Amino acid sequence: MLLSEIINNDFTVVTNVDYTDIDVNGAMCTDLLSFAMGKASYGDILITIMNNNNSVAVASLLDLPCIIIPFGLDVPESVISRANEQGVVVLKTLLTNIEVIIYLGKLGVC
Amino acid sequence: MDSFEFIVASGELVEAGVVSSCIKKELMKRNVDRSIVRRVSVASYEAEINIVIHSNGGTVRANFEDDRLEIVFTDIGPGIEDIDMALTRGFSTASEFARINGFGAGMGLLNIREVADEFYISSSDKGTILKVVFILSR
Repeated sequence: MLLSEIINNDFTVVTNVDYTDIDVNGAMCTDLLSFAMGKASYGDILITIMNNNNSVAVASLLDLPCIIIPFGLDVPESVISRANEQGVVVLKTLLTNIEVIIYLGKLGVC
Repeated sequence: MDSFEFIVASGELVEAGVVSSCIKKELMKRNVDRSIVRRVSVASYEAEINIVIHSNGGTVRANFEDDRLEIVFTDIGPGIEDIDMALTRGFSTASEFARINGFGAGMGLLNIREVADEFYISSSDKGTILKVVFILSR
């Protein structure tokens, strides 16, 4: 499924990475970055409250195209800048992590 | 043989991943299979993070020779007190700072051992040496 088909009014895109042709294959929800390193698959969306550069590094190294930061948490400018450099799309949302998973589940993403 | 050496500073979590990113780019330049790139990335990032959060700093040397990649992570202490415990899932001595940044789950070394074709580790109070090897042609 295309990332652009997932993004609705509940999500704010904070990066300027072009996402029109980006495919997503699944999702991984965790705040333990070593867990994500060990278990996330190519094309997964990473849902995490870790709004830091390390999440961007994990996403970039594993070819995870998108990070969703839930609970209305802010994304620091330094993180946005790093994500833009690495080509990782970052979305923020007021939804909880569970609400994001339910939404992605209804879409058939996970 | 092509060799690359990097310095990793202690406590610099913001910059963690730069070394792993360089190694990944080198692999992609060599058209290495994506699944192998992923395994190398997992190992190099976890090991880089370990130097940042557990040691007083160290170096990473990546040696490419034919279809073999050897990466050696060397730090300057304080060392791992009990390597068997460090290789036990869930065991961690990570600081509060590391934990609030998403690390310290007690999975890092295990992740590395799981993805590497060869895995060697030795440690004393002078430091830890971790060597991983990947066969790039599989």
